[in-house]
Amino acid sequence: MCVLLLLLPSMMLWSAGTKESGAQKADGAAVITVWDFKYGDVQGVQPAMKKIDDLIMSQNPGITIKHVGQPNDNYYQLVRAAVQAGEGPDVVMFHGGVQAYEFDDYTIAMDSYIADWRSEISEFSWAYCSESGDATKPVHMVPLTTQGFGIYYNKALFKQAGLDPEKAPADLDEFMAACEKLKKAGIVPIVAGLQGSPYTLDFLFRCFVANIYGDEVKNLGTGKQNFAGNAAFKRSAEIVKELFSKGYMDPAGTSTPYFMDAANNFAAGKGAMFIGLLSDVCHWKVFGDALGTDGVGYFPTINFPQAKYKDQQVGQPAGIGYSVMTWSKNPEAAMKVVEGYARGEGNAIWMGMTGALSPNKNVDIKSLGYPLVAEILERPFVLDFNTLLLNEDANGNFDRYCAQAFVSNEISIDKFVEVSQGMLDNVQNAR
Amino acid sequence: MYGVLGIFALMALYPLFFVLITSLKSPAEYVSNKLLMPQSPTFGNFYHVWVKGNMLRYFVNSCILIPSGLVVYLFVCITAGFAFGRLRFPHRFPLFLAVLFLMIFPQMLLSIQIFQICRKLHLVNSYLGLILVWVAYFGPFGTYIMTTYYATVPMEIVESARLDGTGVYRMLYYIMVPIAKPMIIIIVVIGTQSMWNELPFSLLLLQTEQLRTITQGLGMLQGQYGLDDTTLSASILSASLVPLLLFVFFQRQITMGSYSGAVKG
Amino acid sequence: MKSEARESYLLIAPLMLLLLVFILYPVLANVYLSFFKWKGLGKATFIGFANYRTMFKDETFWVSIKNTMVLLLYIPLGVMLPILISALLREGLKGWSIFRAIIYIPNILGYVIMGMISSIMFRKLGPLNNVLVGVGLKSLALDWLSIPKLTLNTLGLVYGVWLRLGFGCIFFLAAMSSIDESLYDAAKIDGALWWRTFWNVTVPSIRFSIEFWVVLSFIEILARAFPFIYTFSRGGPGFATFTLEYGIYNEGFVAFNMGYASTWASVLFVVCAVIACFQVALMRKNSDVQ
Repeated sequence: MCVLLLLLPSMMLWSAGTKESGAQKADGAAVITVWDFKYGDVQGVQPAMKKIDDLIMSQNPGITIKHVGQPNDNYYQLVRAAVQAGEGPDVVMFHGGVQAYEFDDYTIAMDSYIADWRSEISEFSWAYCSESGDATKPVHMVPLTTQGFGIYYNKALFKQAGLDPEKAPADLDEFMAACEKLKKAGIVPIVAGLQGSPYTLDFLFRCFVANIYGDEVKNLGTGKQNFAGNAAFKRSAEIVKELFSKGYMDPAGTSTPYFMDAANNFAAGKGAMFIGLLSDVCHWKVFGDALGTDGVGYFPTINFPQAKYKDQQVGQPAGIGYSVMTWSKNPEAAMKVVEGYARGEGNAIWMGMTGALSPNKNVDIKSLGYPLVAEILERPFVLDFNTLLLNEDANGNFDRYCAQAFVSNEISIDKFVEVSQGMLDNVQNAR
Repeated sequence: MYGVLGIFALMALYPLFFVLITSLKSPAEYVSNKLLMPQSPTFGNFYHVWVKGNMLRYFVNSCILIPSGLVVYLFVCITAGFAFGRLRFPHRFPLFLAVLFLMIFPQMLLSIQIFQICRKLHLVNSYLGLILVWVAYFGPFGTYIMTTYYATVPMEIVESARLDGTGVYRMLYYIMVPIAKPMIIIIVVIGTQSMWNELPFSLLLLQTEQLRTITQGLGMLQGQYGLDDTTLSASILSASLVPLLLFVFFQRQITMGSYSGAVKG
Repeated sequence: MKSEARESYLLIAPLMLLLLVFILYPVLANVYLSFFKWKGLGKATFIGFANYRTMFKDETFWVSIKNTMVLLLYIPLGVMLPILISALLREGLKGWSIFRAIIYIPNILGYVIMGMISSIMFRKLGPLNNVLVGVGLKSLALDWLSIPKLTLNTLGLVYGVWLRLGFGCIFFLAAMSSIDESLYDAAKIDGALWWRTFWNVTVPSIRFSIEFWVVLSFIEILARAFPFIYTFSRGGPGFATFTLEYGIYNEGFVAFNMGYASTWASVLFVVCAVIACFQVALMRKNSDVQ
């Protein structure tokens, strides 16, 4: 009993708490604290980040980097808490778009720091990373990845079904015909991840929307374009329904979470096509490694008659990036850390080791050894409509609507269009 | 009769069994063999969880945090339980009811505000802060158990101690605690189980690598894209190790204690 | 006895202080916050009852109420089943203590882990269906997690009944252990069958325990279900398992509409308060703490 009572105060002293603020050491060196929701990925991302941190520290002897991984689930809660406290890490990772814009008042303007190397990243990305996504306003975030979506296919399985493995389906009719042939050959046409959040459908719609609105996608955010009353959007929903009714969607789909099971299934050759990403996971590198770099094909979207545009590659100008917080005592040092990730050797390590798609033009894509990605990047990106939505819609509600409409058939197509329009209305109401 | 019970027992054990065999499969094997015994068992998943996932650090943290929390928890529950259960003072019953009333509120309801309060009191990122929150949240139930137990302690013991001139504190220390030993073991076990598996408050209040608990570690491992079922199973088993062991060793006490409060009427 | 009173207050002070700061204040602060619009950063703007108006017009709110109601419907089963099993077990079957220990295991693992395990077990191509097909019950091997009504009812069954069965049996077995054996002997002499003895002797004798368990069940479903639901189905598919508690989480920690989340929380607060009053009334009626 006494021992325990003695233990208690010592516990209290020991756990008196740690402060997160970047500190200034006596000899003038700076400690830069970085918060990250990727660092916890011990397999894929952490080793790369450790390497890059070491590189930056060796190139900048005065800087010590303290890299803290935070759980993905309540990341923004923690960031908000830091903001409220007015103190915390120097560098914070954000998802590009709405989630970053909310913190504009608390992140520094970076234009003066990036002036030297600004041209290495496209203005398309810089605009997205500016205050509220407005290109005329200062940049608040340095992008580390761009993201995008498209359809990968297994060339060997295509061949097996009697399809030309080098030729991706050019339009809806060819796509449906290909599915039919695959089905007849006993091959699952589309490997799908539908358990929980049916991301396969979510991502497929992003590809469709790119074809429907093309460059005008950004008008979905201003109210000049809508889902309601748009015949092509309704048609795309009908197409998805058809994919289910004709049995082209993986029958095991509802038992398979998208991350990572569905991707693993595709990589293991359990189906012919997969609606995947361009960066981080479920992409060209993973599938190239599994199926052979010449065993995987790709096409950005499905062309269908009612859509005004064709072959649009949907993308996010920035997937994730780093911002420097206004309370940082060493913004120059912090920017050096950020720069170390965004360009040069650090960036090459980042892309090479983690499968991230870097927006930096200087990265030698070809040296990576995956011809597919070079091919993918030849097309310009069209903005992903998801980036225009409010957080709860972008990261939750839209998936729920897809599940209701296509997986459980709880709501009709008209209702689906209505609630999708509701998401756009929410954006207008929030202004 | 045995049949039905047997089925229930199997239903209770099967999930654990399934998690066990899944954790021994490599992700590649799991893609094709989801349901049967592993053909080529591997400890790779456990390696991933313990070595790469820093689970060892979190495990140690939990092993330090929980006993410290228990000390405070026991202190609060025993003292308050004894006071409510055996002592007489004005407003005793209404206060007791208030304690029970406050037991009901869900963590979701409290999280936002608790964070604000802890921030103002500089209790974020400190075990002290988390322990105080835990005791506030789990304390009422423990107090309730101790109260109902102490209520059954014969008045004579208290009275004779008073006649001897013993003060309340000495009475507590030398008499009341030893008497309640079986009950104390029970609330130790219940308290440990609750604190070990607790997630929302830990997530909010422990924000640095050095401080996280194993249950948080389990959450962190999930990352942005979730986890393979195989690694997930390995982490589930790792995190449940201590509660399961506790259960095996203290089985009698747990099952005895969970009904105090039931034996009335 | 004045010094006893003083000492008693001192003894309960730590608990009361903690409760005041970490439970009572947050609960009241939530109600206060529900009249504001706040995004977790910057200022909070006062908007009066606007949040409440939005909430009552919000389809998702009513869906969450409906879902919560459906879950509550599983309480009768969650009460009867443990009582029945306990009554049977107390006859003294061989190995019953082992059985009691085994069905307590889900309880030990905790809600988060059981939720994760359940989300794997109930897949259409998952272990449960595999077993069902194996024993020839193929028609029962449904898509538990993709059909909204099924998911909700599975949730009710697993969380409301199954998960708490172990604890329930232990609880009621102990309660029954204090029943006077002579009552049973009298019933036997009367020639009563098992079923009648059950209803006329066992159940009335443990009335208080049953009432307590019912209140506990309400609390568990209304205010403790979130960790399980989150790991089991994330409130889905669609909004099928979206409960009031989940709504608070979604509005507060995904959308960061703090004021709006507090509005939902106020509704939950009222419901919890009502349950708490029942519990308190129960205590009053049956206590020998008095």
